[in-house]
Amino acid sequence: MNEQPPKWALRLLRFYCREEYLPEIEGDLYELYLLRSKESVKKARIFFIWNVFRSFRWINLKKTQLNNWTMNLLNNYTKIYFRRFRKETVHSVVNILGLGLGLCILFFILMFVYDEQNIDSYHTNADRIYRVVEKSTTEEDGIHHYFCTSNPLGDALKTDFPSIEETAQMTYFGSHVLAKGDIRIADREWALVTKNIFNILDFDIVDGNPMKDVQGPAGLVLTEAAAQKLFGRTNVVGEVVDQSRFGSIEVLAVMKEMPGNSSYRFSELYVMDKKQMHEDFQEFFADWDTRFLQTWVLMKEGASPEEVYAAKEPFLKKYYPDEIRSEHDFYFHPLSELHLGSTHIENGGPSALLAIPLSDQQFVSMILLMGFLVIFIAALNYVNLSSVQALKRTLEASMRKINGASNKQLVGQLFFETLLTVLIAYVLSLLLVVILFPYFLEIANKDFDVAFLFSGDFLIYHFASIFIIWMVSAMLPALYYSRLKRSLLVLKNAFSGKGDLLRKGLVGVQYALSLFLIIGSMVIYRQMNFVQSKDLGFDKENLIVLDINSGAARRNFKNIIEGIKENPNVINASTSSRVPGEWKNLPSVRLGLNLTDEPVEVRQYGVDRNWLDTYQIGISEGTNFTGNDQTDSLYVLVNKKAVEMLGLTDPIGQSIWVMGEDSARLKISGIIEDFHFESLYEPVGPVVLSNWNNQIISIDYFTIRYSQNPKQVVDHIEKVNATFDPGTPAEIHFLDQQWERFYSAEESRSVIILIASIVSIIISAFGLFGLINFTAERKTKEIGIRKVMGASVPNIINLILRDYLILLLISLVVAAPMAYWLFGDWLSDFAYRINLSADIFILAFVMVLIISFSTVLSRIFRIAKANPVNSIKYE
Amino acid sequence: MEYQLGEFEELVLLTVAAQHDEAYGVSIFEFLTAETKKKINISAIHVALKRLEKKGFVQSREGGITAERGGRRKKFYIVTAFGKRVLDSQHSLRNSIYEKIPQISFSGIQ
Repeated sequence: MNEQPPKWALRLLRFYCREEYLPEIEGDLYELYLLRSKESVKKARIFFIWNVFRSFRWINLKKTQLNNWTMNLLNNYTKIYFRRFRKETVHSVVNILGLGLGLCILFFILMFVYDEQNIDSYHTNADRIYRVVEKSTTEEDGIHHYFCTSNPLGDALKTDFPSIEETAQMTYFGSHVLAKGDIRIADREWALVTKNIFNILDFDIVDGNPMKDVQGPAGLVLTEAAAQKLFGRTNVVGEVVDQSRFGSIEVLAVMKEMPGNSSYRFSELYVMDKKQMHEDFQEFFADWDTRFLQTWVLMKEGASPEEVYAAKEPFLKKYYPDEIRSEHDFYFHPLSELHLGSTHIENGGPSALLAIPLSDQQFVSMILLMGFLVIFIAALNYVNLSSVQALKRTLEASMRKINGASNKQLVGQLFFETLLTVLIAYVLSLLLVVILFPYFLEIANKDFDVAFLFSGDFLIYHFASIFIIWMVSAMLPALYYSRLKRSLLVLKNAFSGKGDLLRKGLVGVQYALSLFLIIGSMVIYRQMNFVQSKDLGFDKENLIVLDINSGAARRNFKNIIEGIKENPNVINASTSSRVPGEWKNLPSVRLGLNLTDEPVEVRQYGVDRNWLDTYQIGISEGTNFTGNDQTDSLYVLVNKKAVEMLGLTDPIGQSIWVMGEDSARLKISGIIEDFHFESLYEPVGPVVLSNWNNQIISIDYFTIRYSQNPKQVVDHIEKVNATFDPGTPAEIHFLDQQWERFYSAEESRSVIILIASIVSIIISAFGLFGLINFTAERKTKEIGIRKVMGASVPNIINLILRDYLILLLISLVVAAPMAYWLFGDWLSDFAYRINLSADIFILAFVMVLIISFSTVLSRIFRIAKANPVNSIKYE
Repeated sequence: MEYQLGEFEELVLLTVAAQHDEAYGVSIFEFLTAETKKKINISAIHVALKRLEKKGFVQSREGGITAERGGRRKKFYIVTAFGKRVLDSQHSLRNSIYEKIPQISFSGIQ
């Protein structure tokens, strides 16, 4: 008979159970086991095991006894740490606040950088996805990189290269309108794709099959939100949308919103079937010399683009005639570099709008460096203040030595205390991060959850930051501390002046870094301000732009303009092919005095006679269009830059060739002032204005200048639009907002940098406060004596602050040239930039001075004002 | 008199008092299982006993070695004077509230 309960369960019980409870619990379980085993041994055994598990309770558990000597020591260190914390509250709080603020900034910056680096990384095959970039080399234009590729390239790549698994194409036409019954939506977040794109990129399809064969040129994929807007529900697969870019169209599938870290965030996708498109389109898509489609490539697993490059020459020879081959070299640009590595690439054709503006690696590295600098400044604070504290703690250190502590242990104590400080600061920083998170999202233009801070991927950065800060902060004071221990200083528990130079050196470094950062952020901030307030050559305020999205609007444009002008708040209204700050491509034509001359490439705008008045662009010579369409079509206006580039001496009345797809010889009727039509990264370019009825480019926009009450004007415009173009909802923009788009990314960057540098100054100021607090304490007696001898309050303030003022000046001398050199370099990227004048440096210095000294002044003042009787009694 | 006594603890304490000086884990377990007709786990009784002891309602002593437990000692519990007073006050509290129930016939309601 097996009377014994399972051995392993018994052993488990003995393992976890407290000694004093064990006989009772074990005895009871055993007794119950015996009772039950009379009925069934098997059941009794299971019951016994069950009881062992059930007895695993907190109250029954063995408690780890902290009785070995290391634990004792740590216990003692902790106790001493918190006693000192209470005694030296100012010192400890300054330390922790500094480190906590620094860590908080570091975490924000790390999150920002991590997110920037991981945009588009959510695609399953992200490492195998490429966009094809065409590299065009021409004599006139030099080298250009384009995202739009030759139309048939995608299909040819797939058939000719076995290492390519899949290719797909994507393009975009501007705005579109979807209608179902009375409901109409117009947006720009859409693209036209071939169905293979669903094999390359990840779309979260909830219902339907986007790759289904369609009847007609295209099918539609909607996001749930778009479906909700159109149909009021999301189960709409198989339904028909009445109006779209392709007339009535079937809904193939419904997808979830694209994630926040996707460069593209489409609301609708047209899935086109090129074979069922109109013949003209098919011909167009077969043209190797037109760039209209973006090409996406998915490489086979293990294949690299090099395999394609190796066989590229014969491929290019096969498809491109010799004379255009140099314009159509291609290479693969990885998806992972779309966000941070695309600044050298132009669109080169229609391309879908990005939800996240492009950034570049340089900026990301810069901001990362800033994060490190800020936390480094905070660590220096800690180093400085603890080395000061070490001076005060010689008695404690000596007592420990007398009782047998080794140098190693003393250093160990310091490391332990630093760890405690860093951990407290860490908790504080997490708290700050969570509280400030919404503001961060707003400033950084990001969209993710605060839970990301604690996600598995990110936790590693927590540990790394804590460890590095711990080491950096503890190393120097530890060295210093252990050196002090060479002699026993029981009797000399006085403040000694040792290490002053080192400390001041560190403060100097801190301030040099802070000054550098603040100068930098001021330069960036001013430049951004300058860019946005620079005279563009026209007045971008109070302008409303209405898109022309249909033939009806285009045919009725004169009526629409007249209709809009009826409103008393409308000053002027006009039409044009493009508007300055254009969001689509800017077409250009070539100008030359003779057909055989080397032509000048200029941007072309087709405009009516009101256009210059509406934009308030001045005419410097000659006359505007007359309003007579017959005669106006024979004339053009050019800007000063174009005149200069053409080398004309007497331009008015001169005939020039305007060469696009057709060429015409037209007379210059007037010269207009230069105006900016792109961001201020670009210099002003040459422009030709043709009459609206020119052969090359048709009108696409109305521009309306209003005096006041924009809301009422917008309502009026919508009403006029509905009268003459009932099928299309009015698409209205304010032009100044469009211009801001150029700079919104930079603006959020400059704000991030500004905030980080202000925090760095505050942290430095904390450090200075701690040091001065210490100096003031040390000099209490001295000040008392000086006062008795007749020193005045200003004398005494001067005594304490003089050293630090000199230190600050030295920092400025170090930081200013560095900043001058580095930020001068950055500014040179801009076509229009501010001068790095002395006032920036002076302003930065004064700012740092005020922030630093205002924190310490009250402390010094209190000491200076104190009754000397008390201060002499001190110690 | 201030004390904290959970419902299950009260049952255990009552049992300890009832089995005067002879109460230990298994005996309480069997008694309560039989009385309440509920499934009770022995570990719950152990925890309750520890808590009662900590609160000073019961005292414990070690018994002799017996064969039925494979040579392990029993731990006997006995109710303290304080524990008894707690039980009394619980009892009178319940009684006094019970007395206040009006004489309503529930025979018609089911």
